[in-house]
Amino acid sequence: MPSMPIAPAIGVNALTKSYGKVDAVRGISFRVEAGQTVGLLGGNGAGKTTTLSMLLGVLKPTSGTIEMLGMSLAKQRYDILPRINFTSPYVDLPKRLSVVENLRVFAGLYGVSDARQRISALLSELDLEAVADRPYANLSAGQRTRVSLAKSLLNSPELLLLDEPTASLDPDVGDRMRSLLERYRAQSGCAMLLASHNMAEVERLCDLVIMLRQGEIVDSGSPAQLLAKYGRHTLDDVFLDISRQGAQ
Amino acid sequence: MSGSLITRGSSARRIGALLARHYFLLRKSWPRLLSFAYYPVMQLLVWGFVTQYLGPQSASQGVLQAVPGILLTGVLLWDVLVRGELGLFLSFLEEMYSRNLGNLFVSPLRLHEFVIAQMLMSIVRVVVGSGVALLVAVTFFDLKIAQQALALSLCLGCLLMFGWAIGMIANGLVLRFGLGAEEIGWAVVFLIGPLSGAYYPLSVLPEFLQAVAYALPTAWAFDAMRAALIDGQIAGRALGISLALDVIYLAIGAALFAWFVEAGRERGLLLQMGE
Repeated sequence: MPSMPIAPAIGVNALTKSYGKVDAVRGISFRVEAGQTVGLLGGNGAGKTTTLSMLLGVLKPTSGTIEMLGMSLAKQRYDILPRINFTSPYVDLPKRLSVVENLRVFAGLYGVSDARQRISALLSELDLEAVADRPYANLSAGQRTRVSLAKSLLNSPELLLLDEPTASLDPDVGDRMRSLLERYRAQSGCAMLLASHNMAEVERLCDLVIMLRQGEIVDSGSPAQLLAKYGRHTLDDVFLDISRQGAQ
Repeated sequence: MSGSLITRGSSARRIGALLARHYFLLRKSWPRLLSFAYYPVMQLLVWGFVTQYLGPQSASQGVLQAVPGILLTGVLLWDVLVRGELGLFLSFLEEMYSRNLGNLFVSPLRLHEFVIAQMLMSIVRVVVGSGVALLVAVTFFDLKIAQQALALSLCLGCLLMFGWAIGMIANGLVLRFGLGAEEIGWAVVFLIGPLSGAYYPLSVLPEFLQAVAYALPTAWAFDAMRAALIDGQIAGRALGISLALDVIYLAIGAALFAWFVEAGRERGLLLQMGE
């Protein structure tokens, strides 16, 4: 008996976003399979955040379609949202609320059952227990990033969209965050789409890398495939090759 | 893993979560709570002393006997309108200031749940703010409105709803034009002050302004207030028209807010809103 095909976590087809005559994203298509981690790489203005914003439903595409978890984002947004989550440097949490209060609010918004236990587990896992009752405003940048990550894991998402998730963390905390994301993926089978400038992070976490330049996909492949194709030892060098090809 | 931890959250739970957000904020900030009552009480005190000044002069002059009560009740009900609008507007600004709108718009929270939570917060503001002011008016300025409680409660409801309509429009403008449009949100409710007749009948306005004023639910609600205080009547027609206009303005406010959100989605404003 043939098995049912598993829907991709993300299916993007001919996605375009234009602001007047400026095309921020130009007809890109890609898939993120269930359980896969995909990196979205590109220089500033390449279209990474624009793409993530469209996937989150806070930016309306000019054309093209987005499917997530087997559903159309345009038609079934509110069936999709409880099953995904995100972190982004463009948003913050209420600063006068404590860490626990913020997490309780979002647990309510995401309909998390047994919220106390879930919050407690996340605080422990992200090493935030000592600051649990501290106002968010009084946290360091690294602690805030961890709280934001805790918020994004509250509903045990099947799909995580991560925009620069470890940007402001020191190497030690950044490494622990990456380990946490790896553990979470292994435990839950969660798919992740990661926009990052940290090539070591991308190399470590991602099964597939999509290179964006000026709103278009210019290359894609596993980190190993890209290294081999460009004859380089690091993704940093591959990134520079691709970026500079565009500049020439 | 996700299936075991997630229950499909109900609408009430999401609204409750937003109310909890405001409760957490208020319980640790007594100045913020105090500010709910501060402005209404100060306003009431000023007008209370004005009525004490006018009282002896109007005591024996027919309809003017009701003037102190009309002024004080007008102050209280006008404040309901202002609190109604600010209840929505300030709750929205809180999210803007904290750059939290992106988190909310990407959560399962529906737009109407977001607005309902703001409306409930505005009711809290009215109950606390106007409630304390009413207590001051009754205790120190001998305001007697218990017999007109039903009629005045209906006026209050009409004014509160119009405050919500203005609040939704103000929120939409801030969403579309950013915090630079914040001043509009603070000022817009006072624009209709002269046309609302909170302290005087609309017959004192020039005729062309009367026509404009009667397109506002406030004018009819304050007419109903005067009918209750002077004649002891429930002005059913005025209240009915006020309510009907409220429904129209609420529909316009909701449609505009939804349109501004959609425009924000078109332009990519929702994730990047903040200070």
